[in-house]
This record gives sequence, C-alpha cells and structure tokens, in this order.
Amino acid sequence: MLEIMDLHAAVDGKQVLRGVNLKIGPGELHAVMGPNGSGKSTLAYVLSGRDGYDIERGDIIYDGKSLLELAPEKRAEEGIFLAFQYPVEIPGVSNATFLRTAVNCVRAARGQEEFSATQFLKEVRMKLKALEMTEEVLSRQVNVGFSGGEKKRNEVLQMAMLEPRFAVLDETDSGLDIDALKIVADGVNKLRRSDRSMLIITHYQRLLDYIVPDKVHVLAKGRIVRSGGKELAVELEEKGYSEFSGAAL
Amino acid sequence: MLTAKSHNDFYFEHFGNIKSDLPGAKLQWLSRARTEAIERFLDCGYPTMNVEEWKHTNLLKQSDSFPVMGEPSVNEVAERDIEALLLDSIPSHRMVFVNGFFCQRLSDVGALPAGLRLTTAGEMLVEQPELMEEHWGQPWGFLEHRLSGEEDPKPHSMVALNMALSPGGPVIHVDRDVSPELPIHLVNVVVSEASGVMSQPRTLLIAGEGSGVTLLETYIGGGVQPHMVNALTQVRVMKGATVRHYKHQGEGSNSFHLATNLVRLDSGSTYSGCVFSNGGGISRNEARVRLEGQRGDCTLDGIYLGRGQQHMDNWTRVDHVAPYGETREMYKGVLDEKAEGAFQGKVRIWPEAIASRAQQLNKNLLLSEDARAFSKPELEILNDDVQCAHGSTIGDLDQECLFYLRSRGVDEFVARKLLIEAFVGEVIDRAPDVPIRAHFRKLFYQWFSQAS
Repeated sequence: MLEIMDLHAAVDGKQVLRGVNLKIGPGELHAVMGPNGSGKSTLAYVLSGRDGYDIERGDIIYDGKSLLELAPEKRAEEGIFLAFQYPVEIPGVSNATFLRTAVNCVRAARGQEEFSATQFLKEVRMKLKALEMTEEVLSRQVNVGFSGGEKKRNEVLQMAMLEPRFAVLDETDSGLDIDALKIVADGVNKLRRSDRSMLIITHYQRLLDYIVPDKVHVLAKGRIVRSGGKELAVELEEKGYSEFSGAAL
Repeated sequence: MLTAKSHNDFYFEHFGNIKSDLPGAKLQWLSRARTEAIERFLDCGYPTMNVEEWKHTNLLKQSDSFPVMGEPSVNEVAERDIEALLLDSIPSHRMVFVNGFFCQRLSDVGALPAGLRLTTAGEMLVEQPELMEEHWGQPWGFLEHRLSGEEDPKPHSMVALNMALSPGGPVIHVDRDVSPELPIHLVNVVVSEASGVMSQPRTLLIAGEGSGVTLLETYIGGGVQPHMVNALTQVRVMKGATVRHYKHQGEGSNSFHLATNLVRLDSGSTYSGCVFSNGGGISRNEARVRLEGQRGDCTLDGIYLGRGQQHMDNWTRVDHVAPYGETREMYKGVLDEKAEGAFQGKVRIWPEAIASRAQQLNKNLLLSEDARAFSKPELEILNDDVQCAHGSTIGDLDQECLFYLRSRGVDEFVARKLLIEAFVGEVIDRAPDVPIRAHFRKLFYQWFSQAS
C-alpha cells in the first residue's frame, strides 16, 4: 500500500528526517510515536505534499508509484488524507462550501459523478450523525471559533467525506478531553476498512487505547528506532522516551 | 502635446462654445454657478500630487493623453452591448447614458410607483427650477461651508469641471415616506472608438423624509482611444430616510475614471454606500459624507480589484457634525500583477458630535510581488465622548489556508478563488440588497476568470 524508503528531509537546511523506513499494508493501522522534535509532524506534512521540505534522499511509494512529485491536491485525488494537528481556520468560507468543493473536486478526479446539493446534504448528514455533530456546523466558517474537539471532529468528518485509502492522523488527540477523544476515536474506528490504511501520529499512548494499532513505531531524531505490536505503546507510556534520546545518530 | 496653459485655453474655449446649449442655460443662477465653476477650474488646474488628497493619483503625468471632448456617439451602442456589459439585468428602473447623454432608446424605466420621479436634469430644470437651485445653485456655498472646515481645501477642481461642463444627468426624487420596491439602475456607457471622449455625468438623488431607495450606478464601456469619465453624484438623505447606494466602476483599460460622491445626511437617516471597482486604467473614487443631523448612520464600503497596470485610488471623508452618529467603513483591495491600490480615509468627529461612533478598516491582498497598496485610515476626533477604531492590513494570500484546501483535493486555482472570494465576500455580504450581492459576486467571478 505505502512504503517509505530511506526518507531524508530537511527544513530550512536543517535535517529532520534522517532515513525513515516504514511499510504499511492494505487495511493496516500503524502508530508512530516519539518525543517532541523527533520529526513526527514533518513526516505527516511530507506525506501530504506540503511546500518547504527538501527531500534529500529516499522515496515514498504509494500503490507502486512515487508520491514525491505529486502536488497536494493530486495526492488527495489518489486517496491520501492528512488530518491536521492544527486544523486551519478559513474565514469567510462556510464548512458546507469547503466540504462540497473538496468532495466534488476529488470525485471528479476519480471519475465519479459529482454530488448535487441534495446528494451532498444526504451524505454529509449521515456522517455528521456518526460523529455526533449537528448540521449547524455546515453553515459555520471553516474551523473559525471551533473548540479543539470540534476542530478534530471536523477533520474526521472531512476524512469520512473524502473516503481516502491512506489517512495520516497527526496528533489527533491533542487538545481533546476524554469525552471528545472517545467520539473522535469512535469516528476513526468506523472508518477502518480492509482497503484503507492509516498512520496515527501521537505523542501519548492514550489515543491508542481507543484506536488499537496493528503496529507501533518509535520515531526519534528522524529515524524509526524501534517497532513492535500495540504493547509497545504501553511500554513507552510507562518508561517515557528517555532511552531513545541519544539514539539514531 | 498639451501644456497646462493650453489645457486651460482648451477648456475655456470649450466652455464658451457649449454653455448656451447646456440645459437651463437661461437660468441666471445656473449660468452664474457654471461660470464660477469653470473659473475655479482655470484657477486651480488639475489637482496635483502635492495635495494630500491626490497623493496617489498623478493626473499631470497622464494629462498629455487627455482626450478632447468628443461628440456623443449614442448610436454606436446597441442594446445587446448593454446587456453583455451588465452581465445580467437586475429588475430595476433603468436609465442609460452614453458619454454622459441620456439615451431613451436603451433605457427601460418601466412603471414608476407613485412618489418616485426619475428624470433628467434638463427636464427638472424646466419643471422645478427652484428644487434644482437648492442643490445645484450654490455649489461653492454648499461645498465650502458644508463640506470644508476652514482648514480644508475646497473640493478638487475636477468637481468644478463637472459642474461647469456637465450636460446634466439623472435626477431621482423620492417623495416623503415612499419606498420603491425596485432599485434604480443608472448605466453610464462610454464609447470612444474614433476620438477620445471626456464625459461629465452628474447625478442627483433626493430621498424625501422617511423614504427608502436603492440606487445602483454602473460605469462601463470603453474604446480604442483613451477617454475620461469625470462623475459627480450628489445624494441628499432627508430626515429618517434610507439610501442604499451602490456603484460598479468597470470601464475598459483605456479609461480614466474620476468620481466624487457628495452625501448629506439629515437626522435619523441612513446611508449605505458600496463601490465595486475593477475597471479603468486609472480610477479614483471619492466619497464625502456629512452627518448633519443627529443619529445619522453611514456605511461606506469598497472593493477594488486590480491587475495589469491598473491604478485604483479610494478617498473618503466623513464629517460627524451632529451628535450620536455612526460610521462604518470597510474597503478591501485585491491587487495582482503590477496593479496599485490606495485607500485614504478620514473620519472627523466635530466638537459638537458627542457620542459618535466610527470604525474604519482597510485590507489589501497582494497577489504578486509587483503589486502595491497604500493605506491611510485616519480619525480626527475633536471631542472625548466617542468610540472610534481603525486599522489596515496589507498581505498576501494565506499559505496555510491554501495548503489546507489543496490537501483536500481542491486544485490551486479553485482554492485561490475560494479564498479571494471569501476576502471580498465579507464586504459584499454587508450590502443590504440581496440582488446586488449576487450581482457583485458575478462581477467578482468574471474578474477572477479573466486572470492570465
């Protein structure tokens, strides 16, 4: 499904990823954990195609093709989705316009028929219900004035509507209280499918109590330094990241 | 090439040639007012950049290519041209002027409700000369005393030029407590195919006590030759009346568009103005509003969209003379390629105008490295019982927003359109009339789709 090979990336001349290797199969859910500054968010952004990262070496192969040359919108069309750690506020654009524009751009590119206003509303209502969101969220400006929990739920709503085949969730648990966390996790679990892979990036093990990963990796100083099953997350929670602080150099 | 001297000679001679053919030429007060006006222009000449008010628009640099006054070429305009230029026809009472002259053939006034008079200055000067004298008769008295404090310069000489040379434009008179359902749409078309044209449209709107009216002015057209539109619009909002005043300034790139709106508000009245400019090579839209009665309410908004070498200047001045007035201003510019935009706005709260409120905001979006914006919002507060705020920003498109949209599969072109539409949409959505909002959005889409 997706393979990251020897990925080296720098920001403003500073090396952040120093040879990441990761292979995620169809339907698998992997978690990448690591201390602050280990390169977790850089990994998420590089996967989504954000500007400002120099890929010095390595490749990301998705469905047998390299992703690196593709613009962010092309990656989205191909089925890549990033749930942002800090969802962006877009003043003046309603959530409904935003979602419908995005869904129809992606559907058109995938050769699917675009949603009419009515079809769109029908689809989005179902997804809203699953996330315990109200329709009122559609008329609000994108993420403007949203609470932390609302923003994260809005990310999962977008994911549900865009039907990606590979989703990256960057610190989706940050800023959430336990109730909001359960709702978001529940929403993500409902989206797990045998043909949809996910990569969950998180600092804490907490989220992984609710979204159970197939594999857990530790990212430190720009490299995967350890991989294991879900029990690795528990171990990290107990011991912390101190044993990796000197690693990978 | 014309020198300043030869410009003066030209206008003096031209005024001599046409003055006896102007409407109301036999009215003594009017011929005196016109003579005073041309003299004032000849005294002052073109406004120069040395004057703060004209700091951003250099007329002198352009004056060599100033067109001579052309003959009205009314017959060159076909109805379909008008329709095409208007994008859509908003149900309205429509009057069309070509190069400043009324064109009956293209107008569609429809059935006017009782209490709404829609005519030309020419007719009004015959039928109700005393009413016209009240508004046109003492331009200097009106302007100097009403609009200029002792420290203010007189209104610029281009206003005087219009007053001297205008063949008269539309006059709209709304009776007391009358609120026409449909907007009044004034379309000013410029045609300048063979020779350059200077047109001097002059509009008068009088909203009687307790009335409510919507006015849309559209300036379109253009031509091969450079041409100039020098417009003057006077609006009088009487006690408790509401005027919603919109303008689309969208001539071709050979156009030089100068316009001045003079607005007076009586007590308890509301004026809501919005100028949408995307046309003209050089344009300057000026609004002077005076809150003369208590509890006047004024909104002055503007959208300016420029690209290529366009220069777009916005200049506003609001005087709170009476207490309890409120002013809100929001001007937003989107400038691409080598376009330049300017906003200078001043709100002056006079000592008597206690408990006044004023907000001024100017925001500019620069889409290219060569685009430029100048911004100068200004408050002058002469008493301490007021609530006032102002601000301005100049920046480029938010890269975070752009990436967020693209990461959702929205291609860059559509993403930019959404973001720029949201930027100007904040101003558009302040317009009280829903059909006008839709019209402005269409104009925006058309402008955006012409991006190279």
